[in-house]
This record gives sequence, C-alpha cells and structure tokens, in this order.
Amino acid sequence: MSPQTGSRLLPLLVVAVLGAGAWAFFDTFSNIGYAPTQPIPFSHKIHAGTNKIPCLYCHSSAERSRHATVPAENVCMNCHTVVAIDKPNIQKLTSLYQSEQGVPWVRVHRLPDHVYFPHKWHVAKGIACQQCHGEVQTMDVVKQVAPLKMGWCITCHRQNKATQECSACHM
Amino acid sequence: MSHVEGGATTPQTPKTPKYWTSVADFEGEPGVRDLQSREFKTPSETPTELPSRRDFLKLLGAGAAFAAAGCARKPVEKILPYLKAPEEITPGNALYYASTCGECPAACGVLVKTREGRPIKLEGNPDHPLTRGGLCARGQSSVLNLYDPDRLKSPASIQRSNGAASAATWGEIDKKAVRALQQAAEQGKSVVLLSGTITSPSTLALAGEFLRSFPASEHVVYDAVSSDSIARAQELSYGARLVPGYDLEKADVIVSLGADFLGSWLSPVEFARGFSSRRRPESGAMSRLIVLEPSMSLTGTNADWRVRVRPDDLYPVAMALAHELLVREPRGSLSGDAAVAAAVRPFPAESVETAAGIPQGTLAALANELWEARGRGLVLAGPQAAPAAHAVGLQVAVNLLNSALGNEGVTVNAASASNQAQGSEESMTRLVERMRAGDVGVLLVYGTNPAFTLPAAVGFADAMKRVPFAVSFSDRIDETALLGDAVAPDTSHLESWNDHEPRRGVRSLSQPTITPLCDVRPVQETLLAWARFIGKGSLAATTATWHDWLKERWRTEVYPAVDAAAPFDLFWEGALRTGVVRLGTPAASPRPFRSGSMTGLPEPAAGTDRALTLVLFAPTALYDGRSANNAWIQELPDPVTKVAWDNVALVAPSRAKQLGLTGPTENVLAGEVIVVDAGHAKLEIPVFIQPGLHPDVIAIAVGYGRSAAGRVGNRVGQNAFALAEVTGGRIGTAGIAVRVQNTGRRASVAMSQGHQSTEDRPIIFESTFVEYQKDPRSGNESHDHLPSMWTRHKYPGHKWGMAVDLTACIGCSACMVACRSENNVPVVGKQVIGQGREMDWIKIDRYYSGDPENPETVHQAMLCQHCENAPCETVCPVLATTHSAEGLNVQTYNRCVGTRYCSNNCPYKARRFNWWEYSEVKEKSLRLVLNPDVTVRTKGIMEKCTMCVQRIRDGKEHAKALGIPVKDGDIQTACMQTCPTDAIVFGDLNDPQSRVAKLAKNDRGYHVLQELNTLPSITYQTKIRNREEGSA
Repeated sequence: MSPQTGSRLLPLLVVAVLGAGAWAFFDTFSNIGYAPTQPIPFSHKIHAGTNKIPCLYCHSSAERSRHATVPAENVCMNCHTVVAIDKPNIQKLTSLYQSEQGVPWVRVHRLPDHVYFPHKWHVAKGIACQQCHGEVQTMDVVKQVAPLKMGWCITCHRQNKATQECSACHM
Repeated sequence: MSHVEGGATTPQTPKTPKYWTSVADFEGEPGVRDLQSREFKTPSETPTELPSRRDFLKLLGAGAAFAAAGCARKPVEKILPYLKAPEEITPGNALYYASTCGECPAACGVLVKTREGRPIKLEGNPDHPLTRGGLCARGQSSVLNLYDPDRLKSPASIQRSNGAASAATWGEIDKKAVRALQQAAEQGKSVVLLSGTITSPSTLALAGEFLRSFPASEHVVYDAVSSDSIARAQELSYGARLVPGYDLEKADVIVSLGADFLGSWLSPVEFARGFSSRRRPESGAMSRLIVLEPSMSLTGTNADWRVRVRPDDLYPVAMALAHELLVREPRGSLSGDAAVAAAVRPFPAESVETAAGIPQGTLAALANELWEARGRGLVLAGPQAAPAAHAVGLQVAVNLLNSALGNEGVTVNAASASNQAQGSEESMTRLVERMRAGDVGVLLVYGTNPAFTLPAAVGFADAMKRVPFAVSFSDRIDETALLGDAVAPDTSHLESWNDHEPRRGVRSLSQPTITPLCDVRPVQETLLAWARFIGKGSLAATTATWHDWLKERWRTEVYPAVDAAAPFDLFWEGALRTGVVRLGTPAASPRPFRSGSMTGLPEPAAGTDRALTLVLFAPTALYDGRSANNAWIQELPDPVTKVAWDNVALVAPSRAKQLGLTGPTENVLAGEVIVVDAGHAKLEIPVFIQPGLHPDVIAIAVGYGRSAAGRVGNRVGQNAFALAEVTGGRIGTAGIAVRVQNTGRRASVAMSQGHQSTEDRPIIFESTFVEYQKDPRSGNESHDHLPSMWTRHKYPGHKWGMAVDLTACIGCSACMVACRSENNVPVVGKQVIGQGREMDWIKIDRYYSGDPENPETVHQAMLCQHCENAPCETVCPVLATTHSAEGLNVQTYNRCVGTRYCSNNCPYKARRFNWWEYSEVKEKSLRLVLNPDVTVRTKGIMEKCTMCVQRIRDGKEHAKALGIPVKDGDIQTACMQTCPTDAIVFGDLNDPQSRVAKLAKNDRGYHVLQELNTLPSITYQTKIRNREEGSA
C-alpha cells in the first residue's frame, strides 16, 4: 500500500471508527427494559396469564388495523361492572369511566413516526404477540423487551423471506 | 427524425414550436438565462422581508414535531383510549362519508375522508352526476378552513363605536337578537336576510318560514361573483328568471365571450368534466373551443382559437355574430323576425371588426362555424365580462344566438336550471338604499361579505350605520361583521347537516363528519331558536332540531319525487351513503325566444374610445376572497400568471413597452408599482406583463386585500373590488376607464415558475387534430429505443405508472392542492417561493408558444417521473432514494442526510428540499389536518412525489384482505382522483389491460426527455389542438 493510498483511506477509517462508536453509544440507550408506572396498575399477568383472556379480546384492532390500540374503557367495563368491583383500583377505573374521563396510560412500545408498522398483517401471518412484546402474560408491569429498531425488524423479515422494500415501512 | 444522434442536445421536430414561460424568457434576457441555469438560488438574490414573516410561516407549515429517537430517552407519551369506542371507528383505518362541498355554490359532491373522527381530506364523489369524482383546488383546500385557528371560538358582540369585539355566550346573543327582531316587528321595520347564493332547498325554506313570521321581511341574495345579468336576460328572452344549466358534453363548438367556465365561473368542475369528455382525439371527434376575451383566463389558455376583444366590444361582437347569421345571410327560424332584424342591423360585422380591431372576416368565419354546428353548439358570455351598461344586452344577444342556432333546449338546459348563482345586483343596491333610508330594522348577514366586495361607491358601510341591529353568521369577524352588533358563528360545512340542489333535479346531502370544534351553531339552528323565542310563525311551535327538519323535508318532498321502492328510512340511509339522489326532471326542450327582448338594447358606440380599460376577474384560486385565510389557496399559484400570495395588474407586453413599465422577471422578482386610477377609487399594485392580454386592458384579480380575514389572508395583495363601478343599480367589473401612473417603486412578486429552464429541449409535443387524423403520431414521430449500459430492472409483480394527457389537462391545479392535502406538503410562503423553493410535489407548468401578444398555451403537470434508470438513485451516497420492486422511485426520509445531489442530478427538477423546519407548527389545530399515513418531513431532507405510496399500499392491502387481485382503477393517486378532466391516469403497467398500459403504448404517448434514456414511468400524451393550420 502506497502512502498516498493510505492517506486516502484514513478519512474512511476515521468515519468507520466514529460510526462504530456511535452505534455502540446509541445502542446502550435503546429502550429495552422500559417499564413505566401506569395510572392504574393493570396486570397483564392476572388478565392474560391467570385468567387466560386472549390478547385479541382487548386489543381487537390488532387484527383489523395497523394499530393494536389500548382498549377503550367500555371494554374494561364489560367485565368490571361485576368482576372485582370491591378493589380500589377498579373503583378508581369505574369512577373515571362514569365521570367520562379517560385513563392516561403511559405508552411503552413506540415506533418513530416515519415507520409504518401494520399489526394486522403480522397477526394474519400468525406471528405471536410475544415474539415482539415478550411474555406479556407473565408481566405485572409491561416492559419493553425487544429493541424495536430497524435492524431487528429487518433480521426477522430476512429470516421469514418477508418484504425488504424501503417503502414497505417508510412512506 | 430521430432523437438519438447528438446525445444530450436534440433537434426539434418541425412541428414543435419554441416554448417560453414569460416575455423576458421569450426575448432571451441574459440575466434570466443565467439564473435559470443554476440549481439553487441564494437568498441574497431575492427581496428580503420582515423577520416576523418567518414566525408567521411556522403557523402555516403543517406538521407534528418528531420525537427524538436514539440517544435521548424517549419522551413519555400518553395514550388516551376512547371512553366508549364508537362502533364504526377502528383507529388507523379511514372512514369516508358522502357529503357536499360548501366552499362555493357550485356544491360539488365530495367524499370526506376521516381518521379517528377528524376530516383530513376531501375527494370528489364519483357517484355525483355533475362532478363525477372531480373536485377543484378550492374544494380540496376547504378542509383546511375547518381547522383555521382564526375561526371564532364562540359568538361575539361588537361595539359599534370602535369595532371592538368581545366574546359572548349564545344566551346573550340570542337575547340581543330576539329583542332587536321584536323591536323591528313592533316598529314595522324590515327584517332582511342578506345572503350569498343558498343552494340548499331546505335552508331556503327554513329561512323563508323564519322571515314570514315578521310583518315586513325580505331575503336579498347577493353574490360578489355574480351571474345576475344572465338571469335577467333569461327573464327578458324566455320569461323566467333563472340561470340555465349548460351541458358542455353535448357541444361540438363552444364560443365563449369572456366566460371563464373552466376557471371560476358558476360550476367549473362540472364544466371541466363536460368539456374534457369531448377533447379525446382517440374518439375520432373533438369539440372546438373558441374564446373571445379581453383578459387571459384559464379558459382562454385552452382555446383552439382565441381572439382578443375589449370588454366594451364584446356586446357589439355578439350582435355582429347575430347580424351575420340572421341578416347578412339569413339562416334559421329567427331570421324572419322583424324585431330581431331591426336590433341587430346596426351591427354589421365589417364595422364592428374595424372598431374592435379584429381581423376582417373573423366574425363571418365564426358565424359559419356556429351554423355548421347548429343544435350541437353553445355560445356563452361572461356575466361580468362586459361593462355594466352592456352586461344584460350581451346576454340577450347570446340567448338570441343560442335560440337561432337551435342550441337552446340542447346545450342550454333550462329544465335542469342551475341554482348556483341566484344573486341580484339590483336588489343589493336597492337594499343599501333602503338601509340608508332607515327601513331596515334587522339585517342578518349569511355567507356573503358586502363590506369587502362592494365598491365604496355603493356606500354599504354608511348605510350599515342606519341599521339598528345587524348580526352576521360568519365564522370570523369579517369586514361586514365588524360593522354590525353581533356575530353568531355558523358551523363549517363539515360540521353540520344540509342539503343542496346545484342543478334542478340533483339533490345532495351534507352530513357532519366532526363535532363542531368551537362553540358554534348551524345558522339553521340559530334561526329555529330565535323563532321559538319570538313565538310567532310556523317555526315557533316546532321542537324539531335542524336535522329533524331537514329529514322531514326529505320525507315529504324528495322521497315522493324519487322512484324509491324502499321505505323512507332505508331510502334516507341510502341517500346518506351515496350522498346524492336524482329527481325526475323533464327533458330539456327549446323555449321560444321572445324577440321583444331585443328592443331597448344598447346602440353601437358613437366614437371609438380606445382608452385603457380595466377588467376585474375572479381568480381560480381565491375566487371572491371568501377563504383568503386559507394558506393552501394563497399558496396556489394562479394557473395563468403563476403568481402566488399576491394579485398584480396584468398589462399586455406591447402596452408595457409603450408605457415603459417593467414587471417581475425570473431574475428580478419585483414589478414596478403603478397607480391604477378609476376616478372614484385608485389602487397601488405591482405590474405583471401578461402575454395574451388585450393591449387596451389592465386586468386585476379580485379577492385579495382582505383586512379582516385572519392572520394568513390579511393584507395579502390589494382589494380590486374597490375599483368596480355602479351604473343604474348594476355593479360593473369590466370596461372601467382607468389611467395608470408609474410610482417608480418596485414591489416583490413571487412566481412558482421560471426559476428553472428547459434549455430549449423539447419537453412538450403538440399537433393539430387535422394532422392527428392523418397520422396519430403527428408531432410525436420519434420513439427511439436507446442502447443502455444498464441492465433493465425486473418487475415481477406490479409496475406502477402514470399517463398525463396534455390535451385533456386544462391547468386548473386541483391536483396540486389534492397532493398537498394527501401528502402533508408544507406551505412555504411568498418569500420562499420567490427563491424557487416551493415544495409542491406536483406542479402545473404553463408554457407559451407563438406571438407574445396572443400566444398559444399548454399546461404540463410536472412531478417525479419515477424513472427506471433514475439519475437520482445513482448519486445518493446514503441509499436514501432507491428503486422499488414495483417501479417506484422511493425516498426514505430517515436515511436522507440532505446532500441534495439527487436534486442536482434530476433532469425533471421534481425534487424538493426542506430548507426550513416547516413541520414546526405553533397552531395545534392545524396539525389535525395531517394525514397520519404520511411521514412529516423535517428540515434538511429531500422529498418528492411518491405516487401516493400509502394509497397504493391501502389498495393492495384491501385486495389482499379480500383475496382478490388489485383491479385497475381501484388504486388512484390523489391527483388522479381529483382531476376534473381525467387527464391523469395511474395504474399497473404490467397489466396489459390497464388503462395506463394502453395509454403508455398509444400513438400520442411520449416520455419527457426520452433522449436521456431515464425510462420514466410517466407517459405524456401529446397536446392536440383542434385548429386549422395557421388559424391561431
């Protein structure tokens, strides 16, 4: 390698090192493990684990829309007009519902606005909710288990021979 | 003839004329050429403006702030689910409601797209019999009005003494109004409803019932853009006051005397549909459009034959045409009528031609052409194109021509008359007199803004002082509301119920698609409430809401008139679903022409007064200025001048030379400011050199210069309504003698075209219909297959493509606003447009050819061509712009680092760079109009047409869910959906049966800059003009 070639390669090397550094830096700040406290300590463990309520009973939009959605309060009230009405948190929920106030849930899983992720087609393909959201049925407090980053999406798409078109997710 | 040899430079085909974009471009001013050759202009070359402008623009730039991802901990975001989820709403899925556009009285059918309960876009309703899926630029814009932060949040009281407004409750306003109404009734004074045209039969009936309960009352209808002279002339000629329906799809020859039916007059979408259905060379026949006009209207730019005529010569020209047909060479049934003959005899063609300065023989040729197409022709005249003294006479002459030619009852259809223009200028001016005399006790103002649109000479503001109580139903404290006592704000057309009957026999419904965003109330509810408080008349006892009232009228009036087998409730649901029903109407039949209407018409003018004459016109974008606070409308460049955010004084090139005036050019974005002095009023306004204008004419668009529209529309341009004159109760907007004086100052003018150059490469191919019939490839002879270094892409599934028909495109620019609405394209403002940094993904370029004094025009939609060999893709260093497996050239915003190499390398100049953070929005309400399916772009990244990739996705997902293949026509881009002339066709080029695949292969199809071998996915169809060689 001539010295000239070396000096030409040097900037590339610097970029590569900086890039790798930045990658490592950003990755440490991924949101894995994010488990915020919710206004009502809703336990997926009780609902989906112990009582075996199917995910799609409450997150019914996941089959029909891009959004899985947090269920509307009237879905909670389907059961909680009779079930566990003596519990203080259910009473809190009921009073919020009756006074026509929403529950300000804290969002756990969030994709950037420039990503189109349709729950519908992933559910239709038979991908289990747990594959991205973890073993939610064991969680008292929901926490993020997957990085939800593009590399993670693409890996799965590659393995399953799904589309890798840019415009499949970015539009 | 081949395009191959010579590589980049291509010899022109003999038929291809030289195209130019302005007079400066035509004359090849060196500065212009130099500037056009540069990719990006630096801001220092453009006039600077006050820094507050930037803040103000942030108000407009639509967009939600991106959450920072990556190194920062994500912001805590809340999710508020529905309390009780509405059954029909699935978050993430759009719902469409059939409704009616309320932007203007044309009342086109729309589908309102809602997401999570908020309207985000309007689309044309394909089931509407008149507009058939088309929607104009203003209709597309009207969804933004809903979220206008300057709308009144609640009713308001106005202090008459100082015009100060204060918020009020509905209770206070009701009390005030009821007291005033009762007082007026006690004192025997009139209660007057002053409104714009109301196309809703139910609202009209309700207002009628309301007014009937007062001893003295009147409903005065006043339209600033008026068709009153037509209604008056129809009354004279045929006995009934109406504006007929015009069926352009039946017309082989259309002669327009200053009627801008494709731009702003009466029902442009319906007319564009009808007109363009007869402009298909492939069908073997083409209609012919002949325009005689003083200004250069959008209709004029589409003429096959265009003659420039002074406004005061339009009436003599129409009479001379009648003279040719009925006297010089008597033809047809009316030729024997003595009264008719006596009236037209003073107008022999030769002397009219001499006086009007048009070539001898023009009118004889025109008359022959009309006679050849008798019963299949149509003569139209602009209701405000002639001076006030001529306006009715011109329309009577037109009635005579249509009757004599047998067009009456065929293309002129009184059986299905138009309800879209009911205004009467005489009743308006009479009302002002009565107000001044103190006759009017209460004035209710609804859907009209006379304080802005009436010339000062009428004295409306003074007369208002004599009205004890005036209340406006405007959604803001506009110029008229400021002169009154209270504002009882009406809802937006997207928030309330209504019905419409744009033409007799076509009934459509409006339904609310969102709960009112402010404390506003439909005007109909307000009237019902007041009637109940007063306790008199038929409405007093009713407990019905406006919705009940409307439904009841449909039960008793509409339901029996349709042949419905279903019970009413089912019929009602069906009507809501389709949005429109047809009632049985009698077929059109010719009405006998009353030759008595020919008596008392104006005589030919004695002298020849060739002074400068003023023409005011309603522009395609702003119309009468009602939505001046809508940034999408303000930013829409005028289809002819390409000036945005301003009105200008149009001057013909020869006249400008003579007066020593210079307008804005591509490198000097400022025009000399002139004083246009009409005697009774004057205006200071920048000059714009407009090819095609009659040299005696100064033309100015109205609708600009609002003072109480809101933060966007205030003080944009000048109010040209002030220059109108009043003659015998009629309001004249044309043929006003003016003098001009140069102030020597210059004012900035921003144009959306001209900052880039085609460098004389042929990008438009055109021919004539005669030539086309001999050879369909006429004008488009070269289709070369160039050798390529690249291996062709493979498109195993779909390959999306588009066809744009230059013959069908009229330049109306509806597609531009549809694209903004669909794709969250930001508004950038005047200064940035001046820098050549407009953001539109699709724009309509307008090119002239021929003589600058009367050029031919072609409109060309320019957008990303989605090239197979895309020059942008090869230069992107970060793979942000790539080729999809379906032939789309896709842009991945989050990859883009803003090198702008792609834009530099794009031969079509179709890429747009975010120079500013347009996505920062101060006004939260404006975020609600964003399409949640499309990423909002941030500063520093490149964007461009995606062929509505989100709509393609929706179409594919829909087909996938049903397990069927995607059907041709199921996926429509936003521009294609709204196009009133069907000039844009999108589809799958891999499907040989698709419309776009057939168009891509047809003889008129060509690719722009095909010699570059970029292999665009967009095929243009040649422009075919229906003219004889050399007759232009």
